[in-house]
Amino acid sequence: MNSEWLDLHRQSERLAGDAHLCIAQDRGDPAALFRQAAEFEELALERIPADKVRTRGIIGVSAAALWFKSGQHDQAERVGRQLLDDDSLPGFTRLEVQDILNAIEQSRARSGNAGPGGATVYDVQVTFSQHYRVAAPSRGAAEELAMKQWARGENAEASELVAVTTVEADRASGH
Amino acid sequence: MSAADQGENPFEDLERAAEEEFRRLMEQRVVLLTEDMAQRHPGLSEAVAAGLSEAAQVCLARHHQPPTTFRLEHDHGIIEAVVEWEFPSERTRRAWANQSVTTEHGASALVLAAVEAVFGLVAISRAESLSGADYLLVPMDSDYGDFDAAVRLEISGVDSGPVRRVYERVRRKITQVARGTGRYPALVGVVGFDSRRIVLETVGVAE
Repeated sequence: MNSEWLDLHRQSERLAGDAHLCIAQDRGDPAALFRQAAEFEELALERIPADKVRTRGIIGVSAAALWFKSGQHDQAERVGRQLLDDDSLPGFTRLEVQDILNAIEQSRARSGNAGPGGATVYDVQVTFSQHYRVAAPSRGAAEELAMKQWARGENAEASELVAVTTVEADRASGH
Repeated sequence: MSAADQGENPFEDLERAAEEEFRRLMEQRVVLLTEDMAQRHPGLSEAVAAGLSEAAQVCLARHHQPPTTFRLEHDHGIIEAVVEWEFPSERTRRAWANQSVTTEHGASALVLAAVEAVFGLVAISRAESLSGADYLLVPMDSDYGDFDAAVRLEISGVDSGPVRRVYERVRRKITQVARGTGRYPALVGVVGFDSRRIVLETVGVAE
């Protein structure tokens, strides 16, 4: 059995699992873990035998989703387009890829909410009238950064809002 | 002369039938194992399995005392499912402070334990998706490297509220899964923590 792809997938799976735990416990750097997981998943995808059609669909969607969750939307789009170009893949793959591409479009439409280096832009409400827009790798880091800005007396930048909201937080509450 | 006149118990057959029915129902009781899941589910790392187990403890501790008995409904019947658990420490509760995410992880622990107990299926992989991660299931002791033959499992959790919320969630998940599963088999598992329900539904749609 060709198990090279499976070994690579297992590494991706472990990193993605750790990233989800980081999000759940509001710690660490989930974006970096998702990025590493996406890299391993793409390597796994390249090594899956051609006759394993469903497996290629599952791992392909997974790779695109992991890139998206890491904030690397260009990479997610690249993998998604490659999958759509592959006529052999099953229909469910196309639907899931299309969902990811739609999410990328929506995310870009929301005023380019991806920060530098895959960081996400967060709106953090520090007091009733003070909120800050900061780029950070995690919600916890964003709150910390916003609190420092507030403590230094810097002006709030966000023009409207809210509470702490992110793509990941939206996903969780919409579950 | 009747059975009663002869000193026999006229309800003997009825009592025997009731006793057999009671025994049958008791046999329909399963214990859900949420500890050491990584040893039985190849698709769970030690860290993820421990995390799911902790999340389940936090969810259960919101509403119940251990052990907790759930009503487990699946395609072929209803059974009692007992979950043995311990109260989480303050540190664990603080770590799992995000209620919606904790409910999702806690539900994963109970649903994976339920599919293992009821169907003999184990998770061989997580399948990342836009909205989270599903699991791929195969029968215990089969080829854990063959994803083509796997059953996809979509999990959801409901922390509190009336039991109809659990069924509403099941319906929503079935619609969602049916759209994405194609001709491949899939399962939906939803846990109601406060209402003590676990619902497992199979989904199969021609592509």
